[in-house]
Amino acid sequence: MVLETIAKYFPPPSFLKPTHIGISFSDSNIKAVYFDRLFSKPRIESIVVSLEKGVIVEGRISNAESVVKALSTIRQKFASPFVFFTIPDELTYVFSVSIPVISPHNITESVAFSIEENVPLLLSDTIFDFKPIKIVQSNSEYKATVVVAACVKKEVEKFVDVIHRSGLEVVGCIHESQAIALSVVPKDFKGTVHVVHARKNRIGIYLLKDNVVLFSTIRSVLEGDYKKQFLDEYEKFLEYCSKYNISEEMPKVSIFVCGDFEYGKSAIESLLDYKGSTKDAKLSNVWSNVLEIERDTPEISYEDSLALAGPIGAVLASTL
Amino acid sequence: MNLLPDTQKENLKKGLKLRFTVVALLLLSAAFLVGLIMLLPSYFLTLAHISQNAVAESKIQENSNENILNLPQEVDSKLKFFQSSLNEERSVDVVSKIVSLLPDKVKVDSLSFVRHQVYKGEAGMVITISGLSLDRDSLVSFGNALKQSTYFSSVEVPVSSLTKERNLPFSINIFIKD
Repeated sequence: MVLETIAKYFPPPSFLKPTHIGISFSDSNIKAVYFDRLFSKPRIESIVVSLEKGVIVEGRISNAESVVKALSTIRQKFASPFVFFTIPDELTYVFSVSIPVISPHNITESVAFSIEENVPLLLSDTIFDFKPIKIVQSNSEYKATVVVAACVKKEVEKFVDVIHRSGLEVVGCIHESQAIALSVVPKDFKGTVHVVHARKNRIGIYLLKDNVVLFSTIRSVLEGDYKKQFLDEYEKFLEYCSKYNISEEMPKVSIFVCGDFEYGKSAIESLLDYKGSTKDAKLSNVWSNVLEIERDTPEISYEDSLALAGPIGAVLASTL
Repeated sequence: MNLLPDTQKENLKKGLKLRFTVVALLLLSAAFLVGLIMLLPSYFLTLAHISQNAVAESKIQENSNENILNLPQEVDSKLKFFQSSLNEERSVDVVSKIVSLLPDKVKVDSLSFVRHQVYKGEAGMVITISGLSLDRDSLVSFGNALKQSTYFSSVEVPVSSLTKERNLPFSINIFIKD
């Protein structure tokens, strides 16, 4: 309590926060990126460790030993043992909710009450965190709009366990969509953004406002026409968007595409051919909040870097 | 946002507190070390001063020891001084004798004693009496009384003191042998 009060007025310097590796998990691989956030031109290290089929299935760890082995390879690659990892979108539920505010402790309680209404899980099986995006006063009470991210507690504990067993130390975790947003959207950007995370077997689409993910959709891609399946998902996404009353901003909205380069290109082509397409769709710069790509060319190729948005965002995420 | 379980978050906070404490202690140690290094010159200077003072004090001590050791000599010389005084005529007795012989009409203004004087080849005390006599007879009788006293070895009343009839200033020299 005393330290918290001191830290409020005399915030500890950045060097007290250890630099950490950013790790993201997917069904086919584990990606890890490391750089020092304190440097304007950091030395970037990255590794992608492939996983056999069935080790991680739809974001859930099925074979913990194989994951530990893969993480041990990552441990040997980097100097820092600290890890900030992303939770796959398959395990995360993101939603917005308006709650009354009576006291600071009451917010957490109110959010907890809203969990079971918005997530198909018991509160005891859920880990959640939230970010207030708006507070309004109506009559004598305040109401806050918060974005809540909830995920399956048991699965998160599995990730924490395998990370510990591999000799790494967890400093934090964040849902993958928010990590990608931290990476591809410039931190001073204000407004509404769509982010498309296009991979071979998954398409994730996120709605962001002022750099906060308001909601996300994810779809498994089956064999067949990738563009068609993407557009189907995008149309559904736009229907969700109308729920958030941002239809008036739609013509101006920017779309940042990342993920596997080949599938990202397909997504861009689909968006350009999409009816009434007046949107600004482009492949992302995942280094936008790390370095100036025009001046300091990273060692990783642009095509490869598109797939590293998740772990880069995890490095940029704050630990507390 | 941080979606870690609460136990992990608590561990993180503990780790941050630990790092904060370690950094604070390191800074404190560094400040203490720098302070210590900066105090070293003063310490050595003080040490040198203390050793110099100690040497000076030891010298003073030696001198006082010598003084203590020389005490018998000092006492001896003082004793000798007192013994020498014991053999000599006491000034009080001399004054008492002169006053007992003093006539009513003679007033003494001053008496001077000088010891260890040589008069006509003999060592002794010279006494000079100065004063005023109301008439010549009184002065002559005072001079005669002094001369007749066996206490004094020699009494000189200068003739110049008897030139006037009244109010005669006089000066009489008396010699007493040791």
